[in-house]
Amino acid sequence: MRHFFHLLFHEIRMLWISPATYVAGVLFLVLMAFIYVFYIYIASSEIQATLVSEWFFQAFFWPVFFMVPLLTMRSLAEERRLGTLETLMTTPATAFQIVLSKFIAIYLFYIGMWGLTLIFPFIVEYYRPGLVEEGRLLDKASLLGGYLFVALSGTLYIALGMFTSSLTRSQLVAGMLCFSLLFILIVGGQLLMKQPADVQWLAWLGESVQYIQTFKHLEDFSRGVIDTRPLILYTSCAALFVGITTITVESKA
Amino acid sequence: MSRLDEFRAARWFFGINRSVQILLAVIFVGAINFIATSQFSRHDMTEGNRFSLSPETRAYLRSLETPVRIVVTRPPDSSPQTSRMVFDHLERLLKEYEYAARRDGKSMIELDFISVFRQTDKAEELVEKYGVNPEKENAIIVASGDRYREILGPELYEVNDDMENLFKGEEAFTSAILEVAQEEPLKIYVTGGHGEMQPDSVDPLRGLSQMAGFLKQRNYNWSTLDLLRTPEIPEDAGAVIIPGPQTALLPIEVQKLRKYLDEQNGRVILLLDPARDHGMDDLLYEWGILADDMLVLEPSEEFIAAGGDMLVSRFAEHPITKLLIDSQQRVLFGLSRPVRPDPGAPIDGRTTVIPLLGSSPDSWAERGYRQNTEQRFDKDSDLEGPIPLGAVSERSAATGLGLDLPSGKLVVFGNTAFLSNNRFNSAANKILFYNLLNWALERDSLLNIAPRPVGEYQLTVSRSELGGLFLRLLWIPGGVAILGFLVYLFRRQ
Repeated sequence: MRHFFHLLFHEIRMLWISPATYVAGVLFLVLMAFIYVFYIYIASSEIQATLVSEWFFQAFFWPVFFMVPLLTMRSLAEERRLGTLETLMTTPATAFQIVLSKFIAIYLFYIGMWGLTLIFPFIVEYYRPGLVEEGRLLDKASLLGGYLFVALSGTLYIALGMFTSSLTRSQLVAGMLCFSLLFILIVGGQLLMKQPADVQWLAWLGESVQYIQTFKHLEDFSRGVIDTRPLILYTSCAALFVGITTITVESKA
Repeated sequence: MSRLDEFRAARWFFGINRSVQILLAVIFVGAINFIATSQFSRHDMTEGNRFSLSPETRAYLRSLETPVRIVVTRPPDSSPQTSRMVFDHLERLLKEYEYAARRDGKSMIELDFISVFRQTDKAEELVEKYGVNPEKENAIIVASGDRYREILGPELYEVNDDMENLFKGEEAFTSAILEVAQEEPLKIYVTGGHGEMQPDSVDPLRGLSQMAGFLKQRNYNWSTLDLLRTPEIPEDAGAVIIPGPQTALLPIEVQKLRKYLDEQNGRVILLLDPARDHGMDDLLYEWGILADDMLVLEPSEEFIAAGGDMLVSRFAEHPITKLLIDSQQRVLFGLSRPVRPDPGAPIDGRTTVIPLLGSSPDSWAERGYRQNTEQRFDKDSDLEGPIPLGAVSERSAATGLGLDLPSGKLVVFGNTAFLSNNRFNSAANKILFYNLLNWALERDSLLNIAPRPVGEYQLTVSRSELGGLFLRLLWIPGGVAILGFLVYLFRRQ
């Protein structure tokens, strides 16, 4: 356990001092601020029944597409390229501890970035008092559900990113691979469901596709309805990918 | 074995070992998720459980015996925002139905959201099987077996006194599901023998086949009844409709109706043609209704349809007319006689008579309509508008315990044409008839589900304020950037 915490603090420190972290963070927050203001603009243009926070979470995939590959592509690919992974494997730390420490460090950073967006409604209220109440920008159920979904889905996306990073020595390849897999996972189901339903095998796949459809789960969570299915889906799949990544690291080190 | 071969064998062994580990892990996770699809739960964290179904609906759904299919057409992206909003509300609500009707991992409610332009086979099914207009947006069908029911747009929303938009979807869907899933359909008898309009006739003016089809869709069975031939009105009669008798009913027939209304807690819907003797004046008198032998004349162009029919838009507050008032709909009538509370009826505390709908204030009821002269309003003989065209009379039965319980119900209309094949699907005729039936059969009070506010809002923020807002939101990334820069400087030192 001592090794694990040692590795974890090291990873967090490395993230803390890396310029790439700040570049990713700033990009993420600028994009989220833009999205937030955009939805406030939509809500001011005509009568709406959907809360701004619901829309805000619906747009969660934009930052995921660039943030997750950017944060994870380095983690294992770079270590392998520099040969430090082999060195690490010679220490008493196990492959699982190495992978898990990196995973948790990136995850904490990811959650921290999202957590900062929670300040947005307070800034809005400070700048224009009354607006938060008018549009229920601090609707507890919606915010709690939305952030819970971000936290849940984040486990899988980061585990997936780490897995792609463990497959190759090239950061670029890892990043591209991660982006492609995220795209398939998040948008793929949606696109598949838009195909004409006459295709037989699609109808057969329908139920499974429905189950993994990110947006379906997100819609529930972002309006404050918590469902246990995505809870199981994301955590179990994240655990699976962390496990596979460990096996890959062990086999390639 | 050489050392090289040993290495190779070991690598093979480890490779297979890892593959098996991965495979087992994938199977394990797959199994967990498979179980999760059927054994799951949902928790509504919103205030007042905005997205949860009422306990009443959940109880009904749990007791569903037959599977119910709900088909909703998905509006294309190009459709107006209101259509998409309606669909949003429907989708959210129906997902809760699907969840609540789950039993052993399988839902008794099957949802089908159809994109008409992409899923052509399903769109065809909608047209052929359920008779839905293919171009209709937000068409909603609730079906079970051969029975189905279309939910109409006006049934979904209402505006309350505070001008707040309320969504009544749950009430509409639960009652529709109950209707189609009910094993025993209610029986409606339509009388014959006096030249009444008949349910199996497709005649545009005197046929009721459209109405009969509508009844069947809504899980009502109908049957014809000759009052002269049967000793009494059958016990399974949910209601008796007398659609425009052309000759007077005999006293013995009227007596059967009287007995049915008084003793069997009966429901009678009587449609009268003008200028025809119906022979039921005494019965109507007892129930506090007067249907004068007059003809309602409507001079106001505003209340006359292009085809010359009377457009009725004045309604009294009543459960039957509430929907029509809320959604500002009109009913297409043909020639009518007045039907009003009888001013000379005996005072009876048990009977309540309410006129339902009326003509315009400019209209009048002409007594001398048989004369071949030009019709003019005559203050002495004619009735001054607005003229009531239909009335309901409800009687409560006193019990030995001093309680008043609802008893028979009599609905009288001075017009038959609004139910005829060529008018049934026009204007709000169908809705009026359906509400009438629901009220008579007390189906409207089956459910006690409160409509929920849609929760609409609009932010009042100007464009310049938006710009200022964005700049202020940039404080956070700006702070992160400054922190990064400080860390960079610190590391350089």
